[in-house]
Amino acid sequence: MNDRADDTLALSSAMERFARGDASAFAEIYRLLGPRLFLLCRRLCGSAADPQDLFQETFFKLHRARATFVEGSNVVHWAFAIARSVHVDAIRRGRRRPALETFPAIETFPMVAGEFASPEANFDAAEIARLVEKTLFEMPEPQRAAFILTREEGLSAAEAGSVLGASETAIRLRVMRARDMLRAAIEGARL
Amino acid sequence: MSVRVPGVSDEVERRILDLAQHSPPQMRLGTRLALASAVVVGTTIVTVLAHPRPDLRQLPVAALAVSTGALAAIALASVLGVIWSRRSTGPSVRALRLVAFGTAPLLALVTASRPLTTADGPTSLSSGILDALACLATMCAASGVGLLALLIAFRRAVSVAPQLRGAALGAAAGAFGGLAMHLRCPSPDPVHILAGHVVPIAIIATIGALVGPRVVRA
Repeated sequence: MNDRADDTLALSSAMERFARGDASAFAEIYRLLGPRLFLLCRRLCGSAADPQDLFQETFFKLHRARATFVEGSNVVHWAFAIARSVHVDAIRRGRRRPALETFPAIETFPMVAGEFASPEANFDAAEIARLVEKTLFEMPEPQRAAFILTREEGLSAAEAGSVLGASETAIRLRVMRARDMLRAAIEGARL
Repeated sequence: MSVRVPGVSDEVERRILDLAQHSPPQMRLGTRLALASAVVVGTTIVTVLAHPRPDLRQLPVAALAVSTGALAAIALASVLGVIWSRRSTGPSVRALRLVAFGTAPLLALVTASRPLTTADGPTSLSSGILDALACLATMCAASGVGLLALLIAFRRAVSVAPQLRGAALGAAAGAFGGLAMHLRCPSPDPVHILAGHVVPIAIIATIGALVGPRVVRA
């Protein structure tokens, strides 16, 4: 937790230097922001090939908009908002929505029953992971984004709201609906 | 500095890190906003000075001060709301919504509910649709300049709710236009005020909502 707080501080400082024109701070921004941003890109895209496009495009846009960064803002949330905006644009343009059967479910959602679990239990967990992934990609984008940000990225409803441009209540509602859809899908598969 | 993000190819990583070599200094958002605000205020002043209302000196000072002060406060609040929400993320979306949808009704309430007239009554009565159209055109032109300045200031700065931000920028520019028209047009006719001074705010806000996302999106 402390590491993440330290990283956030270092990232803010690097971003502020970069916004002021210090180009050398960019590598540090990439080092501190990259892993978390790439994880989000993978979650948003759900395929092995596309996240790199989204990741790269997000960094391009972040670089282009560097002077508009407001000191004191949360760099991670800012970058997440840009990534999501790029992703939504791509969906609108009709690409970056991979066919359902291409989801590398186990890689994206590493839900395995455990080291000592039976092969059947591991198989079930993998099936559920695949089902979760599939259901996530069938739900409306705002619900999926809200679910990913709060459940996978660990953002609070308020933070997710700031990234998605929605109220806290709207985020809670979207997450609740997403959870209902996931529950229904899993229960449906078990019947 | 060695940087590796698991899952990202060397090629993509190299392309991203190469961006640092192409990072010329840019004008900061704060400076851009200060310049845009100056343009908005300047346009308002020029619009008024070019053709101030003929009964300006005969108007009751208190009523003029109150109504002008109220309109100036609305205009300032709308621009400040837009500037305050410049972080692009955060609860500022609520402020934007308020500016986008609240400015025109508020301005209508202040101007149309108690129109300014001299003690002897209105000095000129609206001659109908042509007057209203003239006011509408003047206000659209003045507010359009303001909207353009604000859009340029926010160019590539917005990653959340760009359409709403465009509408809010339009409404803020429109509020200054409304202030200018208040000091320019002597017509006390509520219908004229609504058609010529308030509707343009909605028009400019709609233009902002339509054009804004293309310009302001990061």
